[in-house]
Amino acid sequence: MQYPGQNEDPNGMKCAEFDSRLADALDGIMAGKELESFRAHAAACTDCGPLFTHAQSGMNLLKSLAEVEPPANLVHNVLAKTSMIDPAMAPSLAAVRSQGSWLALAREWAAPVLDPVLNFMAQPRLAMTAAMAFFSISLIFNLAGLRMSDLRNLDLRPSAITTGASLRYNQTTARVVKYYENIRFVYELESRMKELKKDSGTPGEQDNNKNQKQQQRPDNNTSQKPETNTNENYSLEKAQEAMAGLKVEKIIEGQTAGQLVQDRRLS
Amino acid sequence: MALTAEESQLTASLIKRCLGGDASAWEEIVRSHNRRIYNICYRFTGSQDDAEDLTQEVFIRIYRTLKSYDLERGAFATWVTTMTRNLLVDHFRKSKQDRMTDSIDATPPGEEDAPTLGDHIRDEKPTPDASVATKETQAMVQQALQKLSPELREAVILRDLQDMDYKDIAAALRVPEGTVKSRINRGRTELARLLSRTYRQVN
Repeated sequence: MQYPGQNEDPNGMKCAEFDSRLADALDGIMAGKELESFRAHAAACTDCGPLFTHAQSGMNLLKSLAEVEPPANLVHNVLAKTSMIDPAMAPSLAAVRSQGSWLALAREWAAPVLDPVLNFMAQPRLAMTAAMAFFSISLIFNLAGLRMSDLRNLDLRPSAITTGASLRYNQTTARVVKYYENIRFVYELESRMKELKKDSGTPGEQDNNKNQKQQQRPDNNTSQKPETNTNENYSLEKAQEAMAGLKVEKIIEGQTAGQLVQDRRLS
Repeated sequence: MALTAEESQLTASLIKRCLGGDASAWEEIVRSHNRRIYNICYRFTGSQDDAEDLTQEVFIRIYRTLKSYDLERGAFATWVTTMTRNLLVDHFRKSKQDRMTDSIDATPPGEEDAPTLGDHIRDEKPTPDASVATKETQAMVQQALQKLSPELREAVILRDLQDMDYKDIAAALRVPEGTVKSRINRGRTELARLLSRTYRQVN
């Protein structure tokens, strides 16, 4: 950007004055002798000449831009959007504040905290995250068999919720009771069957069973014995006792051998 | 932009009817201003979709705050322009990063087969006359307009496209008239330089 200096041409116009009158000259506000003096300065000054040319061509370029046609539905859309605003609410915020509605007061109170958060959430880069979250949630709902139409049909009145809840509770308890009754019936049937079997069973078979049990008992006892023995062999105390026993035997054997030699010598 | 006393009286009665709940009065307001608001939004953003959304947003804002409009303080059109401008500045701040990624040699949106700015200027004079501007030239100028800072952009849009006078622009932008003139000068100069620089680069 060139800024004009303080050159003064023979007509008496300074560059600073030229700059301030440039818009007037181009917009046709300047006329007569003043305009002539202006043009003369533009032709003579090396700073202001190009400035004038550029400003003039810039203006011509801008004026060459034709008026664009607004979309056909613009007025309709504007009217549709503004019709959604309640006319009574049009000068809205001041009116709401004066009414002092609890919602407005709460919003006003929470604004310092909520506004930065909401502004942050409104960023376009988070829009995709939100879209993905919505997509996955809706996918999960679909997989779970929950339709949005079902939600729409849900009655959210408090009375409807309480009746719905009591209905669910009664249905569930009824189902549990029925299940319990069924199981009890099955067990009863099984125990009856066992009793019937017991009653119908022959006494010979029962004796055989008893004998088999008695036979099994000593087997069990004998099978325990070697286990305890083997355990004894591996215990340290028993090993020492055995060693001591061996030594005594050897000594006794030695004594008996010596006595035998002595007896032989004596004899 | 300068309204006669009769026109301002008509606007005042329209607003009064609208505030009284007359839907047809509101429709009349929408019909008489939608074209202008849409054009300002489109030239500022360079996107038809954004312009449509922003126009709707401007009208919603006007509808909500219509009660606060004071006829004594200025023309209704200037008030509407201020609303539009404020919304555009908000939008500009929000979409700053998108704007930074724009390229002057990029193809205009929705015109994949159209020549780029460089292609176009190669065939054109650096300062084409207003009367011979083709559709392509307009697209290129629109792209260059997007490169201007929002202050310069809004000033030249209101002056050269909406034909508002300095006083009304100063009232709409809430800056002194001298600042408005300076911004208009700089905006026009910058735009011409942007286009001629690209033309030189291409050649």
